[in-house]
Amino acid sequence: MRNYVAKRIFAAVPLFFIISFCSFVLINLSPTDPAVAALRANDVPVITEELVEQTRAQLGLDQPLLIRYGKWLSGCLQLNFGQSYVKKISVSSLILPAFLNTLKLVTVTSVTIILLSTIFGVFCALREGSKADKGIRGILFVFTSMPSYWIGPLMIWFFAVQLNILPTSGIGNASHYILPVIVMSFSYIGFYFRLIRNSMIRNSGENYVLYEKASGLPDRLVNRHILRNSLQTAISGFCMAIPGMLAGTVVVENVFAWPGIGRLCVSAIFDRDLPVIQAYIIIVAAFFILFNLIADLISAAINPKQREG
Amino acid sequence: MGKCRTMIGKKDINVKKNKRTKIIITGVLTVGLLTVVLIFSGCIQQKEQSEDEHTLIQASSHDIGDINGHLYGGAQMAQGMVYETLVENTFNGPKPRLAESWNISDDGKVYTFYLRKNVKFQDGEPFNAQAVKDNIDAVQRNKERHAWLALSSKIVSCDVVDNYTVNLVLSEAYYPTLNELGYTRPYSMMSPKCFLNGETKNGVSGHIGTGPYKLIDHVEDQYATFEANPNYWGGEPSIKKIIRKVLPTGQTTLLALQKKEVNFLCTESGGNMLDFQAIKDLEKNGDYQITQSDPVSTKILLVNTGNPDSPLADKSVREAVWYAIDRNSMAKLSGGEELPAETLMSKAIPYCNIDLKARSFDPEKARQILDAAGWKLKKGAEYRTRNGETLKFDLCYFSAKPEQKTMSELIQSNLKEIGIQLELIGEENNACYDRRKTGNYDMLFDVTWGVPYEPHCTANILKPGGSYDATTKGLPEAEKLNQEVDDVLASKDEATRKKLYAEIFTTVHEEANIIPLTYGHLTVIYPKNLEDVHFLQNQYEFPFKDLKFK
Repeated sequence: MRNYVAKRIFAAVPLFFIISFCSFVLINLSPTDPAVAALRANDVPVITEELVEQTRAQLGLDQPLLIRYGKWLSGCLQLNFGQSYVKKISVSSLILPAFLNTLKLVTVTSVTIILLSTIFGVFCALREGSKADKGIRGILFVFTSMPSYWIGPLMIWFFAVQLNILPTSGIGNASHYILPVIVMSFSYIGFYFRLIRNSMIRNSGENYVLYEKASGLPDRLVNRHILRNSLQTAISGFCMAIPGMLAGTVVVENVFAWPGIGRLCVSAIFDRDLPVIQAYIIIVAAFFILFNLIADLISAAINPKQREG
Repeated sequence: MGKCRTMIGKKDINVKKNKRTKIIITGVLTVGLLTVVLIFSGCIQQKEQSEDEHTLIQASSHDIGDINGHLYGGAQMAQGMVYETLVENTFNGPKPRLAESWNISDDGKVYTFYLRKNVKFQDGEPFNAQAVKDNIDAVQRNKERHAWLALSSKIVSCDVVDNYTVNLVLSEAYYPTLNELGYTRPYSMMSPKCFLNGETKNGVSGHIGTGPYKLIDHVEDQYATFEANPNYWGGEPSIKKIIRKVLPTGQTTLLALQKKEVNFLCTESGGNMLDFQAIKDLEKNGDYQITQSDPVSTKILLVNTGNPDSPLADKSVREAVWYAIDRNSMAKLSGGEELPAETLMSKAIPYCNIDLKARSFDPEKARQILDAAGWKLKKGAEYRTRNGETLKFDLCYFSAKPEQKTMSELIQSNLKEIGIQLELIGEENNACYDRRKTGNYDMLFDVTWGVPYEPHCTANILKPGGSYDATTKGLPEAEKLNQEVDDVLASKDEATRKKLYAEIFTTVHEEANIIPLTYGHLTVIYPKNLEDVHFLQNQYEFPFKDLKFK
C-alpha cells in the first residue's frame, strides 16, 4: 500500500506542473492586452498608449513569457500568487477568504450528499421495484432535473419570503447554509443515490452474496458487504465531484449572494485579472489531483486488487 | 497444522478489515466534525447586523470596491457619500460645495476658489487651502490615468494664496473646468493623512473625506456600512446608518426587498437585470414607492463609417437602418423603464435642446431609401442585393448585458423586414471595448456616459483617437466636426457654445453615424415612510444626506 501511495503521489507532481504551464500559456494567449483590461476594470475612461505602456511595465507584462512563468511558479510554490491587477492587493488575501467560504459550503453539501445518497440508495436497493423505490426515484429525478438558477429563487421565495423562516441570501449563521446546501445537493443526490442503488442491485446477484446467504450469514451482514462493494464507483465519482463543486458553484453563489471563489473567478475572468485566474486554476487543479488521489487510495483500501494493479 | 495456519490467516484478514473499517469511520467522523466546526466558526466570525427600521439597507449588484477618491475602481455612489468636491454639478450649473465661491480671471486661465471655513475631514484634520493643494497635486502626479479628462492636461499648478484661498492655474481657457472639478472623481478631497508618502495613485491608508457619511465597515463582496458624520458642515444627516449589501442577481434582490432584508434600491442605468414589472408590483403591494429620474443616458448603435467596402459607408443605408428600428417595442422590452430615443442626447442634457428631424419607425420609408440607393429586393429573395452583393453587416453587443442581446435580436428582426441581413456577435466586455477602440465593427452597441459628462465628453471622443472615432472617420464633414469640437471645448461664451454644440449634434444626427435607441432612467425603490427622495445631476451619486424617515 505504501508503495502504491508513493507511486500515485509521484505521478501527481509532473501533472501539476503540466497543468500550471498550460494554463499560464493559454491565458496569456488571450487577444486582449491584460494591461488594457486592468485599466478598464478600474474604470479608466480613456486609455492612451502611454498609459498602457506604463501599466504593462508596472505589472511586469513587458518581460518574456517564460521568465514570467518561472517567477509566477516559484511564487506559487511559496503560496504567493502575486498581486491582483484590478484590486491591487495580494491574490492570496483575495482568494483565501473566498475559497474558505466556498469550502465551507462544499463541505456541508458533500456531507449532505454522502448521507442522503447512501440512505436513499440503500433503502431503494433493498426495496427494489416497490412503490417507495419508484416514488423516491421519481422525486429525486425531478429535483435533479431542476437547474439551480431556477430552483434557487423558488426556494428563497417559499422558505424565506412566504414562510419567513430562513434568510434569502448572504453568509452568516447556520441558517444561511440551508437553502444553498439543499439547492446544490439536489443536482448530485439524484445521481449518486442511483449509482449506489444500481450497484447494490448488481452486487446482490453476485456469487459471494449467494455463498454468504447459503452460509447462513445474517441479512444485516450480507447487506453491509454488498454496500461496501457497491460504494467503490460512487466514491470515485464523488471524490471528483468535490473539486468540481469547488470550481463550479458560481450559479449558487450568485443566487444566494455567497461570497465564494466562483463569483470571484467569474469577475476576474471578465476583468482579465490574470493573477487571480491563474491562482484559481492552480488551486482547483491541485484539488482535482488531490481528490483523484484520495479516490484511488480509498478504492485501494476497499479493494486490495487495485493496489496490485 | 494446516488447520491452525488457516485460522491464523482468517484472524489476520479480520484484523485488517477492522482496521480499514476504523479508518473509514474515523474519516467520516472527521469530515462531519469539520463541518460542524466550520458552520459554528462561520456563526462566530460573521457579524450579525442588527438594523432598526430607520436604517437604510441598500441592495447593490456589486461591491463598493476601493473607494480611493482619486481613482476609478470604487462605486461612485459610495465615493459620493464619503468625499466631496470643490463645486457641485447641479441641474442649474456648478454650485458651491467645499468652495464657497470662486472667481475666474478674464483670460479664463486662473480660477480662484474661496474655501468654506470650519470644515473638517472625518479624522479631525482641517480642510484648508493646503489640503486642496495636496489633493490636486496628488491627482496631477498621476495625470496619465486621467487623460480622458481634458482638465487634467490643462492644470499648470494649484497655489495656496492664504489658508482658505487657492488659485488653480490652467495652460489655456477651458470652459468645463468647474463641471469637471465637480465630478465625483478624481478631484475629490481626501484627508492628506490617508496619503501614502504623499501619493494616492498606489492606494491610500484609509477612506476619509469631508462628506456626510463615514465608511465604518466593509467586507468585500458582502456589505459596506456607512454612518452619518456628526460633524458634517452641512448638518448631520437624518438617516444615521446606511448598509450597502451585495446581491448579484436581480431575482434575489427582489425577494430580499419583499422580505425587507433590504429596503432601498437604486437601479443603475442598464445594469441591474431587474424585472421592472416585478418592481411595479412591489409598489402596488404598498410597502414601497418608486421614483424615476429624467433620462440620464442613451443606448446607441455606433455605426462604422470608416470602412469604404461596408454598405454602412453609404448614408442612405444608415438612414434606412434608423427608420427600420421599432424603438417603441424596444422600450417595452424594458417593461417601461426606458423611453424611445429619437436623438443621441435627450433634450434634458445641457446645450442639447436642439430641434432635430425625428426618424420615427417607418419600414416603408426605409425600403424606399434602400430602393433609391440601388439595394433591390429580387422577387422571392430574402435580402437585398446591389451588383451581386448582399446587403449584410454585423452588430456586436456586450454579451454580459442580457438586455442588449434582446434588443439586438429585435433590431435583427426589424432589419430583416426591410431586406437587410444582420449578423449578431455577442462578446464579453473587453472584446467589445477592443473592437470599439480599433474600429473593428460594422455596428456596435454602446451606452452614452450620461450626465454630468455630457455633452462635452461624447463630443470629445468623436475626434480622431477617441472611442467614437470610427463613427466619424468616413463622414465628409469629419474635419469640420473635429474643429467644432476643439472650438466648443475652448469656448468662453454661452452663445458660441450653444451654437457649436447645435452644429456638432446636428451633423451627427443628419449623418446617422450614431443611431439612438432608448433613453435610460434611474429608478429608486424605497420605503413608503422615506421622504425627500430626489436625484442629483450626477447619475452616479445619490443624495442620501437629504433623505429622512417620516
